[in-house]
Amino acid sequence: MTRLIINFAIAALFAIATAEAAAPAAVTTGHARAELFAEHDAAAAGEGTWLALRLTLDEGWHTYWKNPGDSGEATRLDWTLPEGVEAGEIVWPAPERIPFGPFVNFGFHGAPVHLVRLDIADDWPAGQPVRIEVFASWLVCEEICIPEEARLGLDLEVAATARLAADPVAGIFAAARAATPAALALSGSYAVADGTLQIELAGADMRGAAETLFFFPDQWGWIEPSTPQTWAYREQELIGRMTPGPALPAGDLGGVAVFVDDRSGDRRAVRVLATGAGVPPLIDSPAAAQLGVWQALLFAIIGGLILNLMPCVLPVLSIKALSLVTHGESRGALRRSGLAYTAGVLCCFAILGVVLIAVRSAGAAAGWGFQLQSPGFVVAMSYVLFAMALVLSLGLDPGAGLAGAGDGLTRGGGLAGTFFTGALAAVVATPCTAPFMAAAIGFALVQPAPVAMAVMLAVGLGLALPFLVLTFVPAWTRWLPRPGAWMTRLKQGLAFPLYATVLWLLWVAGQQIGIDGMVRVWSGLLLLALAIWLFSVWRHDRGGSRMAAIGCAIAAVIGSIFVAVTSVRAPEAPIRVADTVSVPFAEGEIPAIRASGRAVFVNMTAAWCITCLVNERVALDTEAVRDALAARSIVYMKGDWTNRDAAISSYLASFGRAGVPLYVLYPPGDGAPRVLPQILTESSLLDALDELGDDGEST
Amino acid sequence: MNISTLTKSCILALLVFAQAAIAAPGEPEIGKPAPLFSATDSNGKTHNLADYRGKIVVLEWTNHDCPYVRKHYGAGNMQALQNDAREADIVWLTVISSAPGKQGYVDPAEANKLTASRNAAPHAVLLEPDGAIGKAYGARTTPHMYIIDAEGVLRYKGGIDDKPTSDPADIDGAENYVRAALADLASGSAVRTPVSRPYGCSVKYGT
Repeated sequence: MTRLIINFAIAALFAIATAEAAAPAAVTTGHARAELFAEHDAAAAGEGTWLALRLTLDEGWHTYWKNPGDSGEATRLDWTLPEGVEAGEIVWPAPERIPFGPFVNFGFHGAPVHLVRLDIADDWPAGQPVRIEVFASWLVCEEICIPEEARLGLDLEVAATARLAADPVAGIFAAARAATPAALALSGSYAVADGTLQIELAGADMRGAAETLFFFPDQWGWIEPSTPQTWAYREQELIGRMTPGPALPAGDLGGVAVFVDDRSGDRRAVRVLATGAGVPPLIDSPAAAQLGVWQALLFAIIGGLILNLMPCVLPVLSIKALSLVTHGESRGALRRSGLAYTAGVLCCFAILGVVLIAVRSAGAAAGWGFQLQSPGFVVAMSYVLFAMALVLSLGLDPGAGLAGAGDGLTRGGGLAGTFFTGALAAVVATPCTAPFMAAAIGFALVQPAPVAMAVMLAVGLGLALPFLVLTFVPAWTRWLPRPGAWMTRLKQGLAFPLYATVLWLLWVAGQQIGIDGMVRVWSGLLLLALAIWLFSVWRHDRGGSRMAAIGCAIAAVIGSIFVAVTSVRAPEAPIRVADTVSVPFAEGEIPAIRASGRAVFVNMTAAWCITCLVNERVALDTEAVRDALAARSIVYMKGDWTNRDAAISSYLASFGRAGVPLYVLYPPGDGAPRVLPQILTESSLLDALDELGDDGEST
Repeated sequence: MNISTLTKSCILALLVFAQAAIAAPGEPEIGKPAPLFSATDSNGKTHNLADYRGKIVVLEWTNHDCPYVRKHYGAGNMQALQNDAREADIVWLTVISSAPGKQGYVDPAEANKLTASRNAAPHAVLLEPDGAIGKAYGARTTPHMYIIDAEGVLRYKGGIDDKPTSDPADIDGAENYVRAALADLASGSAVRTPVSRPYGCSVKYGT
């Protein structure tokens, strides 16, 4: 009996051992079928062969490339081989982008084939087969992820003369080679400047590749997989811009470029190698490609000129211009005040430029109007403008002088007052992005610091120009009417654009800090109004009542500042305007939506962007556009940049923009996205949507 | 024109702009204040990150059905870290960002049952099916680990260790970045590996 058990145990062990030795060449797991192939039916010693591990995945499931991207795990192969036989690293097929939520993975759908070189020593005896075993493990994901594994094996015949396998095995190897990236085809250099990784690759005749090219780096942490890449072709070079990852190497940057060949329409992949040395730090952008430095400066000056007409700037400028009529100053004094005003504007723009450059080099995303993303700045601006408006309404003369810091400085007589009028004009102008300036400032943001600063100063010069010209050509002031009672009324009237601006700023603040915060700001403004009124009363009083009024006024000012500070300290969850037509911006979802045959319209907006709001009223929010979007089942994505948002900033940067609005229309499928003008009309938008429909049918 | 008035005013204006320029991007950076949040835990209690100023906070993104999470809970690795943290008066917050209907989504009762059955020792399990905190932190995987110091500054983000597999056998011999970073913080030195590759299943955010 005991003997029987022992015999049985030995037989069982033997069975297990032989089963282990004869691992099959194909195994079906939960969501994949794994198969091992050799390219030769008989390999020659010294020559070796190629092996292929094919994973045929269930529909909709994917496995991962060697750099899996934001999550996931690369497929691994552990070989068990006799001495004298060696397996190489996996030669990977070209990966695809696989978005999930806000992030992106790199991997494969379908049936990825992993090629591996097998070397057989020269002295391997002919006629003795090589037993090849591999333990393959992979992560397969759809919505959920499942680690799977298989032990595969085959016996490879070794003969004096090699004999290639016939189809279908030969076909599998041919297809696998076609799917691997071509050996080093693009080389060049890379540099990181201002939070952007720029790769420049010498690539003759690659013009058509730029539109669809995506760079997959060999390792995790070199780039952010989910942020957009922009590629442009200029002077025989492919220039790509993308967001660097947290572990960018100092040395070489290797990877794979995948693009659609514009002639054959085929998907192509090539190896890329960029070295990290000796790259000029100049960063290009699509805007820069179209805009030279001089052109940018000219646009900046024109943009600055247009700023003078904005409702927030016009009152400031008008009051200053009127002072030219009232004070019969000498030519020299006039010129000096013109220069002081210009200096004030330029000082402010220089500060703005320094801050922009500093923020940019700190790696944070900044853009035009970024200061309005801070509730503290918005509230401070509303105080300054409200104080100015009250002073105009109450008809206080410059001698009153104490009604709020900004006003006190601007209305203080002489050159200092003129200087601060200029500074104030620059500050209040910042929210008003004129169309010309968007391109110029977008250009400035991606330039080296000196050019960026020159562009900022050019905007300031444009803003200061009308007043400067008036002071240098005083003859032109004759066109202004004679002084008289009308001037008081005009000043009082000019208070109203300021009140309107305050109203708008408070609405922006309300978006940022909620209705309770906004009420606090209103309370602060109420106290400020009280203080200014007390000051105006105090001017005409004497003795004890005067002291009491001063005391009350100071208390009111302190109270209003306290209220303002507490109102911005703890913003609640931001309140966003509900919108039933659009969905929140999610860049990661765009490729999947387009792949499903739907177009995507992206609208980048902010509560403080007047142009954006006007566009929404006159073009985007109309019934005809809503119907057109619905009829073509276009996904309307809206990005809200009212508060800082890194994803939106980098998306804007990928289009060479530093501010909103930005309108991008993606056709279904792979076509290049189209950037629409910053000033939209209903008919131009409908035309763009119509063209989309035509493209969709023809391709 | 008084030069000192001019200088003072320029500085004042600079301060206003500088205040506006302090960035708070969606991808938190090492050495910068960690994004503040407020969330409800599995016992209905509200936790405010700001309230833990003065203590080190560990954030652990999880999904109990993810093989990579099971690797570390099955082997007791995650629980050991949680217990060490508890003894060192470190606030360990486990975060579940799975959307309803997605893998890893649990109601409060299920979350408590999981904590009990796995012998886990987090300070709290935060349930945020809308994924707002996860997206603010750029949480990509389960597990994905973050360490915030007593001043509220982010000191570590990344994987739990350097062996990105789902095989529990790889825990032995792996360098545990979280344990190393907590030791660095305890000794007052800089965290040697402040960023590593987070590995695991994707966080199952809602669309």
